[in-house]
Amino acid sequence: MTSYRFERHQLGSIFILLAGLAWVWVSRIPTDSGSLQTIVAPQESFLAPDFNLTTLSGENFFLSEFRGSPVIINFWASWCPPCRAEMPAFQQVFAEYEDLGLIIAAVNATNQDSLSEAAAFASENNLTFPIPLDKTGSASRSYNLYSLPTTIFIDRQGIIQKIIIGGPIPIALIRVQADKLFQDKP
Amino acid sequence: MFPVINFGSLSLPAPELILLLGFWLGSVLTERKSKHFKVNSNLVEKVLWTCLLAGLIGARLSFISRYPSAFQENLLSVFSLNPNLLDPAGGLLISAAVGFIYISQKRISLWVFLDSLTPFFAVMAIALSFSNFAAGTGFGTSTTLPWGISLWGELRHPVQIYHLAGGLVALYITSYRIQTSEHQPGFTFVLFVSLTSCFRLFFSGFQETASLVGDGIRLPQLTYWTILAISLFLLNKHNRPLQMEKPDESQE
Repeated sequence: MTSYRFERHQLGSIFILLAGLAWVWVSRIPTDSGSLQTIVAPQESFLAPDFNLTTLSGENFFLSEFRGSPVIINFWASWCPPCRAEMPAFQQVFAEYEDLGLIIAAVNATNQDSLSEAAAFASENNLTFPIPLDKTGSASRSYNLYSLPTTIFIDRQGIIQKIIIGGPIPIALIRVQADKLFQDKP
Repeated sequence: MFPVINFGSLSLPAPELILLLGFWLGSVLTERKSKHFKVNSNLVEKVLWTCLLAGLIGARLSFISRYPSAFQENLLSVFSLNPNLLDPAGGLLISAAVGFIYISQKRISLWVFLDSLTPFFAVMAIALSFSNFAAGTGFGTSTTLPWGISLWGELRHPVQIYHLAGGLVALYITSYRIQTSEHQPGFTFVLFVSLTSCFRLFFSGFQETASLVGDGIRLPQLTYWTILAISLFLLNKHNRPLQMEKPDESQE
C-alpha cells in the first residue's frame, strides 16, 4: 500500500514537471511580437513621453531632440526641501559627465512653484544644465508625477531605465545610474 | 498602481512600506505558529531580526562592492537611507548565510527551523506580489479577459494579483491545512516551495517583461521549473510518514 502511494506521488511529480515544461513552451513570447519599447508610457522599459517646454533661459527644450544621448530628467520645485538638497549633486554629476554627452534637464514644476524663486535658486546654485519650465503641468501629467522630486533616467534609445520617486538622491546613486545609461553602445 | 502614499506633505514609498508590513505580519504569524514546530518563539524572533539586519547591511555592502567608484568621492553616500543603494540578491545571500550560522550554533535542525519559518516566507511572498503591484513592476501581457486592468493604454493581466492569490493559497495550505506532526521535518517548507514555484511557473507565463532565452522562453519560468523539480524530489523524500522511522529509533 505504501509503495503504491509513493509510486503515485512520483508519477504525479513527473506529470506536473512535464506539464510545466509544456506551459513554458506554450507561453513563450513570440519573437515577432510588438516591443514594449514602442509604447509611450511613464514606466521603466517603456518609451519616455516627449515634451516641449521653454527653459528658464528662454530656449525651447524638446526631449525627443536628445534621442541618441543619455538623459536624466529631474522634476523639482523651489519649495521642496529634498529637491533643493539634491540639486548640487545633479550639478556635480553634470560637470563630470557633460563631456561624455549626458543631458540633465531639471524640469521645474512651475504650475505649483514661484518662477522668481525657482530662478533665484538656480542662480544661487550656479546650475548650468537646462531648466525647462512646466507652466501648465503638461509634462508632470504625462509622467504621472506622484511626488517631488522625481528623477527619470532615459537611455540613448529614449527608453526609461529607472524612475526614482523621492529624494534627496545621494550622488553615488546618480553616478551609478548615469554609468548604466552609458553602458549601452549608441 | 500606487508607488507613493501621500499623507499631507509627507510622501511615503508604498512598495517598501508593504514589504515592511509583510515582515511584521510574517514575524507575528511565525511566532504564533512556532509552537506547532516545537521551536522557541523568542529564538525565531531573534533569528528574523538578525537576518533582517544582516540582509540590509549585506545589501548595502554588496552594492558598494559592485560600484565602488561611485562612492569614492562621497563616502557619506554609504550611509544613505535610500533603498535604491541596496543590492537585493547580495542582501538575501548574506542574510541566509547569517541565519544558517546562527541556527547551526544553536544546534537546531535546519529542516525543523525552515518549517517554523514557512509562515514568514509565505507572508513575505504575498507582500512581495502586492509591493510589485503598488510599484507597477512585473505587469502582465495584454488581455481581453474581463478582469484585465487598464494599464498604459490597454487591458493587461493583473499578474501581481495572480501571484498574490497563489501566495494566499500556499499560506493557507502550509499554515492551516496540513498536520505537521504527521510528516518528516522539512515537509512544510518543501511543500511551500513546491506550491509557490508551481504557481509562479504558471502565472509568470502571463508576465510581459522577462529575460528571455532561446526562442522567446522566459528565464524566470525555467528557474521556477528547476526549483519545482528539486522541491518535488525533496517532497517525495520528506513525505514519508514518521512511523517509518520507528524501527531505526528502537535500534538506537
